[in-house]
Amino acid sequence: MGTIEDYISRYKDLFRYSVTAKARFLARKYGFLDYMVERYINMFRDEAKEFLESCSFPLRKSIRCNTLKVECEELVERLEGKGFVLEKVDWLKFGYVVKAQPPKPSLGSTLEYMLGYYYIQGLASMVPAEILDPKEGDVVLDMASSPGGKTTQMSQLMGNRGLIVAVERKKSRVRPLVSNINRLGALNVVVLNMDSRELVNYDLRFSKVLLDAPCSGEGIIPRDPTRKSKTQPEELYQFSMAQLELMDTAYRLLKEKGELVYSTCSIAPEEDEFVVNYAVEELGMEVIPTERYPASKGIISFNGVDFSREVENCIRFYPHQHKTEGFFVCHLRKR
Amino acid sequence: MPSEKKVVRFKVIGTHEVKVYLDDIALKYNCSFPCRMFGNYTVVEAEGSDFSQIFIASKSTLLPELLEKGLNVEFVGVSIMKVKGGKVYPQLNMGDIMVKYCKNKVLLPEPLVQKLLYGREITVRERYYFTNGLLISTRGEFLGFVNLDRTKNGTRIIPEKEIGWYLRSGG
Repeated sequence: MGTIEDYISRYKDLFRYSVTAKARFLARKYGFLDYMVERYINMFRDEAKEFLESCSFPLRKSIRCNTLKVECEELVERLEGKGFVLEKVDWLKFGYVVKAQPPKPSLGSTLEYMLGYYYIQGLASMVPAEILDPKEGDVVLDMASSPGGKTTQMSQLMGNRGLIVAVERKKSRVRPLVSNINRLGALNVVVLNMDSRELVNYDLRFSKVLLDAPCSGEGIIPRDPTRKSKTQPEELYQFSMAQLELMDTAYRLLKEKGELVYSTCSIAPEEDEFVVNYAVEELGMEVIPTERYPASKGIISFNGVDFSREVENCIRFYPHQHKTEGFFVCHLRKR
Repeated sequence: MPSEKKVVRFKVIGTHEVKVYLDDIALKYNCSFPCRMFGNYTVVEAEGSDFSQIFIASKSTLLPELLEKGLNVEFVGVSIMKVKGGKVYPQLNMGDIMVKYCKNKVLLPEPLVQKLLYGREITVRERYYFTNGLLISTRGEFLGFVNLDRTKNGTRIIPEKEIGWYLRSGG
């Protein structure tokens, strides 16, 4: 097993970008950084323009019904009584798209919201917890948990049994996490305010780990257009470095045969397949194929660099193809 | 010399250790709690410099062990009570439980409820013969703790802590 520095130096070409005139033109037109568009052309080929356009339209609103507090049929009936129109998403256990809403109240201020009957959550971001599928006997680590959407979703899947250790490094992000845990009635969570990487200094092992890694947020540009020009190449590199360190930590904290779901709200291969490829090549982890979602396969070749074929078993969501936020999810197992 | 911030220590406590707090709440809200209240949960106390907090969490054999490891624990399960200066303040998740066992309830039409949930006082014509109550929805759901103040023409209802707090707390 080599070091992260060795691994990065082997793949240094991944972070070298030469921008074409076409990328520069499209970047001006859509308000993105040049190097970002160059990468989209590399990823999407003829569909790059379609992707760029889709980033200008807001995403469909969606909610996760919280069965820890309410039956979904009752929730739908109550919200429809207030003028909302909901449609069940057939590929998610508890996900609903909000097809129409009344002028008042807003989705985030209904009585049912305050009662913790639902959580406003992107459709693709409901996928990682479903894939990890924690059971009541599991001891789960959630490595970057605020604001708690996936944490409380895991509590729901576990029927409030077992144990989730939810870690949040930033003190300011603990408050919304705790608020959501209280509101949604998640009883099996212990919140730690520390850097997940420090956990290796304690005698701890987990049967399942969710690593929804801090990232550039390149997948949520439709929700936050400032991200079109926020992340410079050197910052993207820094995100990758931190993600590799977190992946390394996750591996060390997993029990033998333990399962890990790695996800980001970024479509950048530097933050996604590159990190999973490290888990496969350097840590010897196995990628478990993910099949039952309407999503694209992982990218095995990008910017002149080839990854292990195993990363093809990861999944990607895009706004222009799947009408969700851009998202990456990969299911791994420690051998 | 600046005072050092006291480290909050989390420890599992016996259900009997919260009895004194439950008695206080029962008196205030006219409740009749069962003897084995919280028997299905792990009860945890966090003792800070200004106040203590009581949590309930799912039963887990690993939890007490985890709390002993010296990790920087912020929260365990859900908060049910705060104890400050000898006074007990039931928290919102405690309200969900209390609604089954307490008699001091205030049931109001939704437009008035909405005002209370946004932290505003209201005055109603009804007379209530208690000063601490649980605000409940027409479906019997707990919505908040309210203080009641009798006036010449009715009752002034003052929100103490209600579920609108979740909107204001940045969740």
